[in-house]
Amino acid sequence: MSCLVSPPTRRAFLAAAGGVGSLAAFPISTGWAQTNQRLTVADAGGEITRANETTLYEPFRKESGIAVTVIAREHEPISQVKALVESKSFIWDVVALTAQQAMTLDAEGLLDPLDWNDPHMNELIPAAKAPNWMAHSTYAAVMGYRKDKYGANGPQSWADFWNVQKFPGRRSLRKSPIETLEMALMADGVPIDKIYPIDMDRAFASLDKIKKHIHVWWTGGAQSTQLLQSGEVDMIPIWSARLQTIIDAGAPAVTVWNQGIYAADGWGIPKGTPRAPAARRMIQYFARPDRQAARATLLGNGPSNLKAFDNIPADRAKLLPTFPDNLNKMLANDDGWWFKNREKAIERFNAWLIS
Amino acid sequence: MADLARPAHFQSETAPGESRATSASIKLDIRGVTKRYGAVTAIDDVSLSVGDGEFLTLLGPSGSGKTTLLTAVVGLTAPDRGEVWIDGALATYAPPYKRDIGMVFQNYALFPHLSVFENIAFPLRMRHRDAATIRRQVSRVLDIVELGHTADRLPRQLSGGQQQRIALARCMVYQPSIIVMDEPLGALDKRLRDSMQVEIKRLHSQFGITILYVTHDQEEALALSDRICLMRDGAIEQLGTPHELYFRPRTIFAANFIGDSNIFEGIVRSSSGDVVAIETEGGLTLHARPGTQRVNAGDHIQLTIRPEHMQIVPAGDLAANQISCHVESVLFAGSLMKVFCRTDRGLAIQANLIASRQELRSGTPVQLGWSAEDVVLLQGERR
Amino acid sequence: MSFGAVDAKADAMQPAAAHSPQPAPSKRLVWAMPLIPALLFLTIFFIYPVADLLLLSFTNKSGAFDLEQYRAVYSSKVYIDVLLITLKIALMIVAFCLILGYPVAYLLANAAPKTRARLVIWVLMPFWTSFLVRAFAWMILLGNNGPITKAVNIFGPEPPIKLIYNLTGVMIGTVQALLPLAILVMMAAMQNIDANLTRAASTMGARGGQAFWRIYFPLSFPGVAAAGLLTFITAMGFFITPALLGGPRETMIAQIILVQVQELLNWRFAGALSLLLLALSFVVFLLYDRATGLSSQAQSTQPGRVQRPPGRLAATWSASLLAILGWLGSASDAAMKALEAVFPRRNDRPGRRGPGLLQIAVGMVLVFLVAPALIVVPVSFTSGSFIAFPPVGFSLRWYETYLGSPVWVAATLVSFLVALVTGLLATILGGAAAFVFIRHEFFGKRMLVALFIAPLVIPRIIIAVAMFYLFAKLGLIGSLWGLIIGHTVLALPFVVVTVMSVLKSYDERYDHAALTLGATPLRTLRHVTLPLIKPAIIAAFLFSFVTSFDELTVALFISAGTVTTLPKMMWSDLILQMNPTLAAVSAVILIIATVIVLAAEAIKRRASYE
Repeated sequence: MSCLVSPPTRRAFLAAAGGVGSLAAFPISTGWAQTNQRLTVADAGGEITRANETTLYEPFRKESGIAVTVIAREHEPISQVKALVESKSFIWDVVALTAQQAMTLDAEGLLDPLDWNDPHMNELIPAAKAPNWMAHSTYAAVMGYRKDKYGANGPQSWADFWNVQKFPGRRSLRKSPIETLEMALMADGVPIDKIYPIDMDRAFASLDKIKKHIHVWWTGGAQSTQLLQSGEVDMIPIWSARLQTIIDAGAPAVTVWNQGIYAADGWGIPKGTPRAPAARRMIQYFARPDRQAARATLLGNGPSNLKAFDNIPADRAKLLPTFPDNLNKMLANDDGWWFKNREKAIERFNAWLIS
Repeated sequence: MADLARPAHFQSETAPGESRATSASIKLDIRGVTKRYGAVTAIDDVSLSVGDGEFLTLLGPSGSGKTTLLTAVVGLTAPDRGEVWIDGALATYAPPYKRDIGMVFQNYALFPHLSVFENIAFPLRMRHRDAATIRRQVSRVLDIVELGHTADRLPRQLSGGQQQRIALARCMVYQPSIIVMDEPLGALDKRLRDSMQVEIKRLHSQFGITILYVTHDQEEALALSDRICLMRDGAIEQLGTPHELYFRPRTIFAANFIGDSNIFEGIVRSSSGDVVAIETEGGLTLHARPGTQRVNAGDHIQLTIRPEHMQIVPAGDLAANQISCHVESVLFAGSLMKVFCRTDRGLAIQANLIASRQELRSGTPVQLGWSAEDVVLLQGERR
Repeated sequence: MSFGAVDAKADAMQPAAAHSPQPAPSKRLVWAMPLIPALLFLTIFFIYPVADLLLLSFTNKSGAFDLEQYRAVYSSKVYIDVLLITLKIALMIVAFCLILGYPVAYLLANAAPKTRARLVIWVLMPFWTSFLVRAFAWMILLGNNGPITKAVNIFGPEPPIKLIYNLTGVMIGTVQALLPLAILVMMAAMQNIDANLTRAASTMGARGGQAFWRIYFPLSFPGVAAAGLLTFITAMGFFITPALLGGPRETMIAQIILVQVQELLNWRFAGALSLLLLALSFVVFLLYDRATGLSSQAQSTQPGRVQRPPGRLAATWSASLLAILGWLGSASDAAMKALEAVFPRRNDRPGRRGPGLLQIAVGMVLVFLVAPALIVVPVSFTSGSFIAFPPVGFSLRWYETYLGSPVWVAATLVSFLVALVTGLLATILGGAAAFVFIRHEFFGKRMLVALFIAPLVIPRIIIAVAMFYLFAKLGLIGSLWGLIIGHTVLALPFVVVTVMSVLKSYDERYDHAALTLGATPLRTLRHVTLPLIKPAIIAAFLFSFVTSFDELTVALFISAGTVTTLPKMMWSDLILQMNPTLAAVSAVILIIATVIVLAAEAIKRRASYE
């Protein structure tokens, strides 16, 4: 995977090198004083930054003349967004957020509105749209299993995952109620359109059945890939892009789209940044189908604008969550339900885990 | 603060005729120094002066305040009250490094990370002497203590006695006007201690240094000192030459602390001329010469007799004091026999006799006698 | 600057000419001066912002005083349970660190300087590999298909032994991470112990066991106490390693707090949990301090000082401690005797003896310490895209990825620079404070010591968020100084406790000797005290350096992404998978650090020959 993305940018290097050179207070945006329009965008870093750089940021710079500085943020960036909005130090103008994160911030009034007066933004799937947030990308929690363990007759549903007689082997689940409760319900036979609102009692009763068969409760994305790739476990719920990364690198793993849970990744603008107009422009740019198509060829995340599939080769398209054949089999994460019930669910899940 | 206005004063208890530093040559003057730690008074209104070139020992049991007094002199503790004068200058609150005093510590406190040479050179380096001077002076004192060959070693590679001599050399090298020594021989075995005593005495007389010495070992104090300051509970019990302290102890504490003592309590019955008769517990009648001390019939009195003043006397001897008793046990100490006796009425008496070929078995009846001059009348308990 | 050897009152020399009677100068607070910079630093950059954030927990949404957050904590058993689990795991970590670390520290402290220098390099090994890389190395080593598990299960225990994703895994991962800390702290204290004392004890007829437990062990105790405290407090804040290597029950409170802050934006509840954690740690600290006397004044501080008689409780405590030590002594003597009966000691060949039990045990601990590093190096040369053991093929591609990338190299340089300045700043500030703590008794000292340790207790995410608000006002966001200040706050506890433990057993007569020999307090410090406590100073510096070098949370917040440090690069590189670049980075850092340590040692040795 990593060979596919561009080498690190000169700008990032300048930012870091500037840091080495001076112990004095570091200017918030680096070396672009001559352009009056500039933006700092915070994304997840690593390979995602590299893919965004070639498919989104660099073309946007060229088109708009706006200087864009990219920095990597914490995986869970909302506390920092809150802090920077409240202290009015707008080091970020555009920040990558999941729907959940955006909802949490929006509830506290920490996001600036977007400009929805844009043709492409209105082409997006419903899950990609919120008043102050827009998704350019989709991800899915799917089941991955080892081909060398199960051959052609691997598990195909969460019921199979729960069926330890038919599918012996080591299993891993995520150490979080999010997505896990839905999987437990699907394993218990709840149809996909009846998952929400989640019946917690039923979900935990279902989890009780599998608990002692869980070899590892994973906590980090990199851990989940490590577990499946090394053969430590034979089946695991995993984010499809990560799973695709190890499949591309030669791991004998299979993606099960059936009963996967998809959600969207997008962008928000910290409330009050003086560069909000430029930030809105940038986010509009991210809705373009050609840009999303280019990005989807580098990362295993799907576009949120289904028109992008016109520009994605067919063999690549079927590996993406929003590829219609995949999308049809999956459950859309109900961010609204989670936003309301997250705290209670997390508390109960933690109590259940240690009991 | 009122007493500060007075000129240098000496221990008020000092009896006339006792040796003392004359004010013309006073090196160190301690005036009314008091130091408390919380509720505990470590030293209480102590005054003491040390003459130039004098060897003065602070003697006393542990907790008597001698080390606190020493550290007040050196400047490691500041007194709560009182003054310390060094060479005629007020130095009560001067930091140690400005006092020009050398100190030899109990466990020598040689710097473990520095070689012997660097240890001795340390005070010179702190005084910014040039390299040539340092080399010359360090090798000079190393020669004096006869340890020139150890210059490159680390302290831990030396024996205890050698470390002791290096500690001395480190003190002498910058020729401080006063050297204070805190139990410097405490960690050495007996043989080494004896030879080091000779060495210290030699260095003292050879270089004329003023030495303030702390020990709890009375033999060491007697052997080395020009004067001894006996301390007890943070105050001075008695100050005088070794001879005075030994032969004229003024209190039971002094008598007991220095040498062996037979101590009796009694009532003065009569006085005829310069001899008084005292009736003691256990029914003895002893005769003493109180000298300048005034005693009256009926006085309650304590007295002491050094065991070595007792002799076995034949029946009908003319000694002023005689008692019959029997030997309980004998400790043979080479040149000396310590004979522990008991009278018929149960009074214990110790006599140190020159060893003779004649053996004394326990149970042997003996007649002990001593002269009236050897009976020392004590002052009552202090306070 | 008075370092306490002299009463501060003595600082002003009275002019000799002034014969007028002088009253004792009033008790000035000069002795407390060295504490002031560190205290100010902590107050401004830690207490003020963190208290501001934590006090939110006493308010409701409208900002009025309300205990609703605390009621919420008590309404579910889970938080108290997790707190207790955290406490249990932390105590277990401490026990393992002390038991495994003590013999290593003992051997190192008593080894020849050259041997010691060589062995310390191995002990330091875990410091140079990022905690993330180490966790993944353990996953490979202990995993189902890992070499260790395979080797163990060759003997076919039924059910197969599971070394990871349970408490065992947590212990292995965390103890390995904290062991160097414990070893170095104990070693620094032990290097001050006069070997003659144990020798003297054995000449007085004490067998090895008695001499050790009655003489050596009590002397080494300040070091053990400090090591125990530091490992305990650090372990209380652990969560990433337990999360990666543990099972469902190994949930740490810091993890819960992190989720509350970062995912739920529920800072008031996070504040309530943090205050509970702080309170629990504080109680443990007070009990611990009472029992070990860590923060109490050194024995030899005031020359001629009359020791206050210990209270009855303390007397009972120390009497029973002595009894325990005596019993331990007899027990180990008996054990040694029994061992000798089974394996007679070869007295026939004097001279070189084979390695003893101690050496073998220490060797095993060292292998444990370096195992993850040993796996990281070969893995970094893989030609494949995964970290796997044994590695597939051979290539330098991951080194090219690392060293060929200006961003990676710049991040490495930034991290070294920040860590270096943090190390110096924390060592100076914390070292000076430790002097005051050990050499003076004053009201509220215990509270102050606890305060200096608090940055280790408060979850880093709380500190990071709190600092952000302050630094935003000060214009420090995204600056290297902001990063350095943040890391220095985190490093101070290590410095203060390490230096305190060594000063406690430091014989102050060396200072007194220097002062009487004409050295000013400052020169005494420079020429005598500091050289003698050098092992502790170096250890304190190393801890600060590593704290900064491996720090992620504060860096993510304070740098706000504009200054990229190495852990941050590694963290963002981990997004999709654990790729061998991180192994290559770790291998390079390992080599650089080891070369620096070796070079320092060589320079020191050359200097001592001249």
